[in-house]
Amino acid sequence: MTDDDTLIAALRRVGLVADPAMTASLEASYRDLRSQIDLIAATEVRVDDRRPAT
Amino acid sequence: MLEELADGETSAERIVRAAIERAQDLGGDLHAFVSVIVEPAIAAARGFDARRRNGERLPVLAGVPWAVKDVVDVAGCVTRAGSRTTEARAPAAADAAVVAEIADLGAVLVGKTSTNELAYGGPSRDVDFPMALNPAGRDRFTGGSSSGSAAAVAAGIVPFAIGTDTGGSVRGPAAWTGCIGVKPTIGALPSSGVMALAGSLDHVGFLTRTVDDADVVWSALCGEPPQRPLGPTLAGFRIGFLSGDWVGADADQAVRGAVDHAAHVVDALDAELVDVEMPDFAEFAAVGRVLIMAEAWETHAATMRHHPERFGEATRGRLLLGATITAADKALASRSRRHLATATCAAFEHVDVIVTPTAVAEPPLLADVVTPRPRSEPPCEPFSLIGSTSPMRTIPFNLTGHPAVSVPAGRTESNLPVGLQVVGRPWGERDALRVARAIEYHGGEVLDV
Repeated sequence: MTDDDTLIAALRRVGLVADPAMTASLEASYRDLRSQIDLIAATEVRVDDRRPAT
Repeated sequence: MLEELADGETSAERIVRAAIERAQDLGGDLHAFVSVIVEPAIAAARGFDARRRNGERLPVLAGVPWAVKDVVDVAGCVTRAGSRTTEARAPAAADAAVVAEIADLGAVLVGKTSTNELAYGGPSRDVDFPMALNPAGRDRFTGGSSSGSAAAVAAGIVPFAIGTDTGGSVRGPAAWTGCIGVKPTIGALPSSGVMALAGSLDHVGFLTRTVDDADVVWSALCGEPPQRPLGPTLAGFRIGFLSGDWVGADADQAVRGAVDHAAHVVDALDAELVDVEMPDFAEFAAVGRVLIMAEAWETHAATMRHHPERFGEATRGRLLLGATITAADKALASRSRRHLATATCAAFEHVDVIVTPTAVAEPPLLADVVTPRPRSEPPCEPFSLIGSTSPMRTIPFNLTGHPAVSVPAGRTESNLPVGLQVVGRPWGERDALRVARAIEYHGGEVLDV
């Protein structure tokens, strides 16, 4: 994980600053959320593979 | 109750007064109500009694007391939604559409019920409204977010209450308090005048103590006669039971037992058990979480940017996570939602209803999940009913819009309620209720509160 992959960095990209204790408590949730987004992306690839070519 | 009213064995005023007293005493004890409506309710009940004495034809729910979650507008009341962010709101100018519809049916509103903050946060100690306690075990989480409606119904304060359900907020509390939770087909009950959380997933639903009561309420809302008695046979029904991660290896033993028992019961009632394939629950859970979090952020972004301190810690944390979801993430989840809905519709080509657990675990101890955490504890991932480890199996049908009913189906070793979820085709609420009636658990349902 790089510094760019952290919740603090993601919040900064949308112009938000949260207190460090809160972001620390949410870091695991943030990683879990990103892993779920990765799962959706992987599933979409599988669905596209199953779709007949047109 | 309706028969007793019709036969003149009791009066609407007596029933409504009793409900008001319970709401004030027991409801206050359970923190189920944020406000109790007294004089207008008694006046409405007296009006129905007078009309009944005059031999007038009355609306179908005339004199039946009910309650509504405090995210729904009631004319003259401030909709607080369990949050400091609503402190400056003016009283609602008009009833929400669903409140007006139920009033037209003759039911008498006796109060507004508590909610987890903005139908999203909690369980929290750092908001201005106390958490509703679970009548089935006061040290246990009621579930959320229609926690006050569930507590009010499970404790027998009112026979039905309205809630909202964006990821399971009617069905989850119903399962964990031991009552019925109905999330109708998306859009079936109007959302005008209901505070939005995530507009594309928000549903208005309701809770009752029995499936028969749910059938009465649903039939009244649809303008149809009730199905009572809900039939003794399920001949002609094709029913699919989902397995895999829909139940999960870590499911409570009582939940597994309830699923097996329900399959046995419907088989004995001549239903056809059909193998049905659905995408993994994990795929639905991921898509649902991303869309709820993204949409909830959009709903509350302006307040979060200017007054984050007005939110409780749990809500603030979830909103911050939602802020990190990009447009590309949301587009990805929206495309996946379409695939999942298509797969669900395909599954329903082979079955009339699908049965899953509502929750695969018993309600957790409140002390283990409430926020903020004690300062002595290290920062940890907050408990979430929509996270990847959530025990709820409800969110898929917020994504697809299918109707789903949570029905009590047993008790855990700790004597806590177990709920199963019966899912119907779009507009198939009546089929779902018929199957729910067959598997409804009656032992121990009269709660000692």
